[in-house]
Amino acid sequence: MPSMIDIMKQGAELVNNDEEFKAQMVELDGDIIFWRFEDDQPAVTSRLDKGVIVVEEGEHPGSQVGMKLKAKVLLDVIDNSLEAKMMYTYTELVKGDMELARHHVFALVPYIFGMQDYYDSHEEFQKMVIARKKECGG
Amino acid sequence: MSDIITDIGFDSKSLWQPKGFEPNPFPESTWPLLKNLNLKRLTSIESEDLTPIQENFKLPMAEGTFRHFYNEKIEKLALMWVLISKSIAGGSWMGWPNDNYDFPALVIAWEESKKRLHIIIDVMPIADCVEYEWYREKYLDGIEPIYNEYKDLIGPNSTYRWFRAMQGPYHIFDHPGEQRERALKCEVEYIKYWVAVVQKAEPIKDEQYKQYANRRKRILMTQLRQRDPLGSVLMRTLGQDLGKKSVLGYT
Repeated sequence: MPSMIDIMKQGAELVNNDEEFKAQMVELDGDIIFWRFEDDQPAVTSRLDKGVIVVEEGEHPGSQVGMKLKAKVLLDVIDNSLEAKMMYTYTELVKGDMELARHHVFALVPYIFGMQDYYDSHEEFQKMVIARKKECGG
Repeated sequence: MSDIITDIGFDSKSLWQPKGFEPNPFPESTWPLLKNLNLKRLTSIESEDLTPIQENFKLPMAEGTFRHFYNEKIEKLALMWVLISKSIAGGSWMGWPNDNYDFPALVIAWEESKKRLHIIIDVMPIADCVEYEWYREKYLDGIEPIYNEYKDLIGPNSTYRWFRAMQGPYHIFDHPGEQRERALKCEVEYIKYWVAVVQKAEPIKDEQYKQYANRRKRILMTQLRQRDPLGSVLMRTLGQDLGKKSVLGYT
């Protein structure tokens, strides 16, 4: 059964290799966000590194923003049943404040929109999300 | 040659095309309602040159343009038409009276994507409508028939308490599902109402009230400038320089 880090890594690989999203991320660098899932291990860090989205295990100490949330919240965003900006409603900021979150999480927009696109078009990715969501009771 | 602006120079399809859907005709549906106000081009605010964002910009995460206007009653009226991350079409009109007038601010937002539409529609009072009940009667209650016709568009309100606190009694907010044409019609009706209010507006005569109204207006503008999440989006997608200009242009 895929965990959140598997899904986020797969999403990053798809988006990083998509010319359209690469073009949108080209100027993004240094935004680091960790995701502490209440019902999924391990924690995940996503960071922009010179226009590439990097997903790795753990809570990166250099993160500007840390978010605590249920896995289903991000899965709902990926399958577009939850509007991305509504994610904050179901998220506790455990590092940084709302202003920092708005600034740095916005750098993930191409990544998030990319995962939404691939959820619709990439069968394997969709299966991963559906399987994990089922496990979460979604 | 007259310096009255008669053409904004673009329509919903001429600047950009979002992925997977065709945006509703926000600019061409709304601009014709406002151009009768004899608007002139506003090129700077608070010593900030606005002309760079009145050009068509194309950046990695945003493309589009802004327009800014004024006339003898309006301090600033800003139009935004941008595409964020190829996926979200963002349109807005935000209009404020100058210091000699107290008519409500126009607040119109249109945020459209393949799967969603988000709207904000208001004639936002400059004065407190409880303390100055005549203000509500004079400037706002006339919109009630339109509000009643479209109030089914109202959804869950903003999650921002500071924004809820400044809303007018005829505020319409949120996700009208697939009622996109109807939502745009509602925006059109509110704009028509605001234009009529502006055309009828007379200068404030009571000096003490004028000071109050202008103080409160500046507070509204400042709170929007400092807190509106759109500001963060614009700063991030347009960069510090253009982002700052864009925020000053509508707040």
